[in-house]
Amino acid sequence: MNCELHDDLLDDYVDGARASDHRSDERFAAFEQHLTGCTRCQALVADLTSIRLAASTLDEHIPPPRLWARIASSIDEQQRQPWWQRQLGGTFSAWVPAAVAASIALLLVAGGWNAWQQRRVETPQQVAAPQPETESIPAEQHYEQAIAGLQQLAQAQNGALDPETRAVLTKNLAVIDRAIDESRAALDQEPASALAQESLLEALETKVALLQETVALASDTGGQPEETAGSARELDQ
Amino acid sequence: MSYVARVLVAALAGITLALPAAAQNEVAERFSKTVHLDQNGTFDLTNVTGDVVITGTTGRDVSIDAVKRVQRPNPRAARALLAMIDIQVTEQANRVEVRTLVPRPRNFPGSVDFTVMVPEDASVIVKTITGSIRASNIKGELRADTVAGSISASGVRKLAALKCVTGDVEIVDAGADDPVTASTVSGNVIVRGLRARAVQLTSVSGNIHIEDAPIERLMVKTVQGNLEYAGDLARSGRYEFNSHSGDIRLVLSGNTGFEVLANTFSGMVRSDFTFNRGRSGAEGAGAQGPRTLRGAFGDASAMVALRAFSGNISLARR
Amino acid sequence: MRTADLELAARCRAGDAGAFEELYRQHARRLFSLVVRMIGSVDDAEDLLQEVFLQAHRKLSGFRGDSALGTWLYRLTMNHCLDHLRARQVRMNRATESLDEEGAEEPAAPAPAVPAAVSRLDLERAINMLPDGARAVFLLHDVEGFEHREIAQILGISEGTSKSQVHKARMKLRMILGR
Repeated sequence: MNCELHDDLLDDYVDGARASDHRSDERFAAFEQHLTGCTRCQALVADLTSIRLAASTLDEHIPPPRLWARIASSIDEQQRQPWWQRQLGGTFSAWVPAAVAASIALLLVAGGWNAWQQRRVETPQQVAAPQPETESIPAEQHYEQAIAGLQQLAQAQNGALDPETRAVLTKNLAVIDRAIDESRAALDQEPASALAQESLLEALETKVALLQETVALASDTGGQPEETAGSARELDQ
Repeated sequence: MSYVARVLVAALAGITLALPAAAQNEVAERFSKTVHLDQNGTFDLTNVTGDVVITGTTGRDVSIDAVKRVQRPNPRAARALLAMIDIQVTEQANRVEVRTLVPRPRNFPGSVDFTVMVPEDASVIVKTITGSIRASNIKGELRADTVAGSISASGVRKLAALKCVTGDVEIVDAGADDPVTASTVSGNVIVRGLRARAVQLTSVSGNIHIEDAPIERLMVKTVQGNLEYAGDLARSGRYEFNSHSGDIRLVLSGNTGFEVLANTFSGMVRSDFTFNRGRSGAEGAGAQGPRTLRGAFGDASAMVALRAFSGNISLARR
Repeated sequence: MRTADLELAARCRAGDAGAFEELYRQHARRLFSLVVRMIGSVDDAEDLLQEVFLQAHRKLSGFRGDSALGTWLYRLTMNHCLDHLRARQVRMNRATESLDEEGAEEPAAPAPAVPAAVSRLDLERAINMLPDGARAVFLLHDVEGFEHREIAQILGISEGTSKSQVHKARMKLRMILGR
């Protein structure tokens, strides 16, 4: 038998290729000719055609509806950077007003770990010299601006955090506010006190950090507060 | 009692107290999966509510054991909600990701507690919202983040970042190559044995306690809590301790020389040490006052800055 | 066809969530079926397809329109499937068959061995027994209806290899189903 000569056309034939469509290629005609007299190739064609037909009519596996929800939420998650990698402008979602974002961005550079690594631990000599008031005022203003902006954001997100966490954050903000007030009072008493100034700026920086944390947490855990509680209640009935 | 048992007891106690008139029905379902992780791979888990315990072990398997729980008065509702908790495990050669997915994460009335074993050379990232994280025997990097819950890291070779809001952070017998940060808002930070180049520990209203921690650059900050450092100082180390209303206490052993500047606005400063003239030659040897301490001890190789507003500062010698 | 693709891709890149969902809706069912049959598990298929779309979202910025968006998606999907299978086999210490391997087995009987109406269940089971490479090509060609030219683009093989793999797959299925 010379079946092997035609083997590569067998699958084409099963796929529906006919000599009449391939007049310029005489191999097709030769195969069809061969087929009329070869039981082996006829059997193969029959079997492979059954297989192909069955394959083309296999049922679809339907993806569960939740798959899209999973994809959408993991894309969402993917677009938020992990908290320890948050960089300038990456912390907040797009709806942060530009001016606020700018002043916050300034703070992200000025405050925090990076600033500490760059700042040398004060040598006794440096701290002894009283710092001119004019130097610290701009810093204080920056902090105040950032705080105002963050507080606005935090208020807009009201309800996004669970009550216990919100209570802890509020309580600790009060602790910091007390520290700010005490430092300010001290500065009023002793305007030349470098220590009072340091304390004030430290406390302001800590407040910014905590507000950033609050805003970030509320955006992270995002979503409407009422829904699941409601749907869970429905299920209870 | 083991940590897990303690947590379970605490949880049970909580449940008993909280029982309303209608008996709560708890349904639980176990989830188990074992996957493979290549050498120095990463294990990344994000949970919503529930505790996570991760232990490094030998072998290349990651074995994930979880218990999903839902409590509702209506058992059918409980089961329906249980079915909505989805634990998704994604496995690649060098990364295993676990995600707890629930339709609306905030307020979802269910929890998943994880007990995971990972190859000890893995790097681990764990994030949860409500729940504690306990990691031990991890030789890769560890990053853990929870909001309402504590974090405990023990036997971790490359500590990177631990963060929580309302819980404590506990570090026992750990090391780090890169800068480490551990922070909480209302909880305490407790460090017992940490060898690292640069460390930053912060709390707002909690205390911070450090002992047996040879660290070259240490920054510790709290607003309301007390700070205590016990142990030796690293030669040429740089230390900064800030508290607003809390006390700062250093209990120093060993003989490392250091230069110190301690200031409190309205608190008191006291010290066991006798100081030489300040290295900078600044006004007066070992200038002291009720609120200021400045001076050098020994070869003054390390530098220590202590600042409080209304808290007291004390330097003791062990 | 290409411009529509590029437009959809551009909309997705620009953050149009609706556009990306549209892409998902267009292809998810067929891709899901493909993945289920490639890796043999519905649960794993869900996980894998999620990973695929997540990666697709990340990589859309690199889509240049050199192929159809569908082809691009299928390529991504098949790569994930084959990686998944390779990882599974490595763990099970079984040898992986390369896609370019030749050699089909021929059943002895020259008479028709396969029933005219093949049971779908039997066929699904039989497909699962195929070597990974042959199964990939068979699913794309006979189940999904792609042409060899398109399969070559999707799998990164030659058209000739695609044809021979289909042949090999069919012959093997014949052997399994014909008993």
